[in-house]
Amino acid sequence: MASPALQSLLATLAASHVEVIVVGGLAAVAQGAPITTHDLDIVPRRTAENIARLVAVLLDLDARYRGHADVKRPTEAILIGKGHSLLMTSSGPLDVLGEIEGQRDYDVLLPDTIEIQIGGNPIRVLKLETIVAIKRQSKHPKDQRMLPVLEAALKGTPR
Amino acid sequence: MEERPEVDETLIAAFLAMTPEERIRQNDRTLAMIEELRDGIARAAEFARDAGSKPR
Repeated sequence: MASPALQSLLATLAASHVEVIVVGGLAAVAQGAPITTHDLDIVPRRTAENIARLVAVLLDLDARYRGHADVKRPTEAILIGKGHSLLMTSSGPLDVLGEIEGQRDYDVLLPDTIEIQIGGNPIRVLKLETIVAIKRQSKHPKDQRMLPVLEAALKGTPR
Repeated sequence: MEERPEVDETLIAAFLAMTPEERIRQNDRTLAMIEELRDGIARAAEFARDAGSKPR
């Protein structure tokens, strides 16, 4: 396994056998949506063992909360919860989401994912059709603005 | 635990704190992850076609 600094965040998570679902902008872009995004959004499986693996990876990546003047590190006690942790790591920004819109956590989202391999290790990505369905239900102006683009990508044949 | 804001000002601040070179490196990292995901999804679809089923 390459050092975390040389691997992508995704490859590091996959190589460390952390069970996560990639959601949000990167998942949509990877399935053909013509939008821009700058961070990785993941929903981890919230078991004690998986969260312990996730925290170990995050500490290796020097993860700390964005927007805090003092250095605040993610902990198992925080990440086992349903909330959102907005982090900066040595491999870039990472949002760890206990659950997303409509109280959807890892187990709820799991049937609507695609399992892919990164570096020979499995990782799951939320299907574009589910991303669109979630955005349709969302009342957030940002989601509503993005919806026409995502719906067009879903109808079209992304190259 | 923090709720997600409509506009993520922490992300804007993080990018503003970077040098131009660091921002370019971060864009490269994001692009690499998109390529990893796209390749993985394409391979999963190909595997599913070969197996005569939908992607798992």
